Amino acid sequence: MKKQSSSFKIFSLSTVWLWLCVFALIPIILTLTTSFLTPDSNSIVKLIPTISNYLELFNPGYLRILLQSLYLATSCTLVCLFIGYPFAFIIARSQHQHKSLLLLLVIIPFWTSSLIRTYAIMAILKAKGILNTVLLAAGIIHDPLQILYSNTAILIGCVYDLLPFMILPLYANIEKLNQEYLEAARDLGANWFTTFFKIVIPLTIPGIIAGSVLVFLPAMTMFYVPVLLGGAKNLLIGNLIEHQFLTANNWPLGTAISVVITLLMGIFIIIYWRHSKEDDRESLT
Amino acid sequence: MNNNIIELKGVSKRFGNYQALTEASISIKNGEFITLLGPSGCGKTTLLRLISGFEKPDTGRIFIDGRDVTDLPPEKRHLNMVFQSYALFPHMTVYENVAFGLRCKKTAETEIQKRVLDVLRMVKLDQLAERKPNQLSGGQQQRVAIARAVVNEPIVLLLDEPLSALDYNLRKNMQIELKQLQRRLGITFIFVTHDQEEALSMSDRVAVMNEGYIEQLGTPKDVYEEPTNLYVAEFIGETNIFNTEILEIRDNKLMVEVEGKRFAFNNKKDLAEKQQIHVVIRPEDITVWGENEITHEESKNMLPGDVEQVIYKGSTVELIVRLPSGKKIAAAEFFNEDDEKLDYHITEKVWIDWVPGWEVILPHEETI
Amino acid sequence: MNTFSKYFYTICVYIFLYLPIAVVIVFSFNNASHSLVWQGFTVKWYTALFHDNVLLRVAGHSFLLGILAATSATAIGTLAAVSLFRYRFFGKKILNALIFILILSPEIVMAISLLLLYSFLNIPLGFWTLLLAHITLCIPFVTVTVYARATTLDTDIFEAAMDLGATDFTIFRKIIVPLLAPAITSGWLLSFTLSLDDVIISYFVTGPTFDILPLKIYSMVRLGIKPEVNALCTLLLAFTLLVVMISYQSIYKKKD
Repeated sequence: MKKQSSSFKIFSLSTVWLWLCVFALIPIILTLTTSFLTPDSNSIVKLIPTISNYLELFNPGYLRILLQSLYLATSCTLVCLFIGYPFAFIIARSQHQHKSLLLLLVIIPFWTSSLIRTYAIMAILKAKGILNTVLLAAGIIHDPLQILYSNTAILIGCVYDLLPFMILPLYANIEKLNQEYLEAARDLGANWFTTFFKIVIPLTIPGIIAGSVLVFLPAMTMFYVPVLLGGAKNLLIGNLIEHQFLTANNWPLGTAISVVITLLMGIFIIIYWRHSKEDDRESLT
Repeated sequence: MNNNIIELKGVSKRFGNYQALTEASISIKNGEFITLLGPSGCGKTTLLRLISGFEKPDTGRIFIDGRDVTDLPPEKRHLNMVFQSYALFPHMTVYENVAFGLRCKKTAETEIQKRVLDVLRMVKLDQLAERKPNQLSGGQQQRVAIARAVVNEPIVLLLDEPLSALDYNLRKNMQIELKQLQRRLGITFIFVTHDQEEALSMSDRVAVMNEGYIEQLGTPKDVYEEPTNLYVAEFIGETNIFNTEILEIRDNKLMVEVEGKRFAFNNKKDLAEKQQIHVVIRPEDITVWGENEITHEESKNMLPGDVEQVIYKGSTVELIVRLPSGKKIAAAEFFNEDDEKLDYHITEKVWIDWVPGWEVILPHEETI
Repeated sequence: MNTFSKYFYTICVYIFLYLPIAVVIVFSFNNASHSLVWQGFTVKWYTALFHDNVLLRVAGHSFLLGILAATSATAIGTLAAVSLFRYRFFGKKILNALIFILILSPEIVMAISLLLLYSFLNIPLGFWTLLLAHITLCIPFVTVTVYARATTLDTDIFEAAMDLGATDFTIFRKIIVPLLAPAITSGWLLSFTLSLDDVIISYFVTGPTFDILPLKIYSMVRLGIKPEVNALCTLLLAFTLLVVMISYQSIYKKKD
């Protein structure tokens, strides 16, 4: 039965569409367009179409930054996965009465300002920071570790920031895992190791993918974490874009970088989408 | 050499405040098809899980083939389970599901292939080996679950309400197939169900359970015809129950008054005078006679009544008859050539009797 | 895996998650202006904060912005969620995809695209550009939160209401909103914290006329570790904790 469109429906849809068109779709189109225009020192852009912005990206300097960002994002994702998976698994399968409290303790950092948490890592890692103070006092090291302002610090900061984003989707997925699969595996003679790698991991792949995407995407475009923890010398893609917009005044180049990154991310988003659909289908069994 | 393949001695299990099993002891014979029967919460699934090793008992010991396995984890016991929801691994094909147990034991691939295909042929699923579970019907998934368990040649197969998700006809067929499978394999089957018809039709022995206790363990005939208490009598089949007392014992027969008439019953349970008893008679053991069929002499040993309801059930007809005291009796009669008169109508006056010896006398229990 | 190693592992991870925050909180009470060696308990950094007029004004700005952004985003996001749940319309799949993309897309991309929009329309950067950006940021999160809850509703009640003569608006007002109230509240709170904590988008689209807290903190933090910053962060952490608790309560209370 086809309904007449009610005035409320029209109002809702128009409001939503109007807002999103003006503040999401049009800006996206503008970004795309600008990436094909020429920079101009007076009025931001000259209306001369060109693909030179994209060609400039093949400059080894830029490629190096891209690779570094990829490297950071991948390392961050893997570390988060290795730390986060066992953790999510233990909590999700526990029979503990305070299970929801345990989960809440993970959600709290998730809601907290990531800037504040990055700052907290600074406090720990700096030369006169907690880590060094403790290690020196314990006699484990004799000179303070210069971790701050290095790639390692950026990685630590990144993992610290994004770990809850890995844990939460993993938890949600592992919790839904039917206990009977594990029992059936044990009944058939599988030891813990086999059960984990042949049954648990394959059946929780949607969670792994969800968590990985939610960590990888922000990790690629982090921009204040490298500034605070890496000092001025470690440039990543986020910093590069910022530089083009706010310092170098080369907006077309900045947008070109953004477009390329977005396309790269688009691939990951599609993988995520596909797997979340499959998850729905399998859980109907 | 002990013929008991599984023995539980004094096994108890509690979950929080809930006592699931109390001091249960049972011996299961090698090669038998035994059913644990009871309503939800009676402890049958707990008992099964204790045998399989997924739960540990609070008290008591568990023996498999003479060996004390109480502390042995499930993967080390030579048993296999068919789960109620089948628990087929959704990301593996039928073949891989069935091969899983053999792969865990590091069996050679060639032998795995032979044994898996053999067992799939046995359950008639060899054509579907490459399918995934979500591409199979409920009945097919069921058979994969059985195949996956059986291919490991366990000494005992445990089945946790495996047929409860199937529709009526499929269920009936699977009951026959399971029974045939058990005979063919020759291994012990421990079957859990709440369906008493299923239990009676498939089992060599039945353990009737209630609230953590095993009420009676016996052949289907035993539990049906000679229930040891009111619970078993009422759980299995239909019953009519008369509450009365033994007036006296004469020639080792119990003189009892039921609904105003005197009866002499056999004293199988060594009961005493003045003892309160229940007289249990199954509806199908009761014969109903029309007023015109009975002479005055014969009616002295029968109970009079009025037909209150006639329920036509296809192969049988069930009559609800109201006795003068107000008590209602259910009587079930088969349509057959010998008794032409089964055409009773409501308010008709009838006479009730039964074959002497077919009643069951039970000592009085408080809970009624 | 035995029980001891399970406990040990989870506790280690919790320590990892909370130790840095704990350090910040503890040292906000430290009576030393530079070092991280404990030199006695004090609340002077907190009192200093409350006397810092600039900081108070900036904090006020952030709260005002947060409230306005959260409220508008919740309104629009709820309409979007309800429309996606109830209606079939042209472009529904596109809307779905757009929300999905907006949530996952990096903030920096959204930031520069809005910057482009504002330049194109010649809007000076300041309060309004910031507000509109924050609302756009928060809408998808509200939509997803409310939609997830909406899928647990029984659509028969809408049919029953229509059968009794209710208009769409009435159904929305009297049935949908009350039933989805926990999710809507949660969406509001999530938007509020997102706005309060947002650094990236604000960095690009704000102007000198409207200072907000996260940017102020960012500039302070770039200069290094300072006790006043510790105190400020502790206050914000406490505030966020409060918000999470309220959000959790509102979901779990209504769940029965």
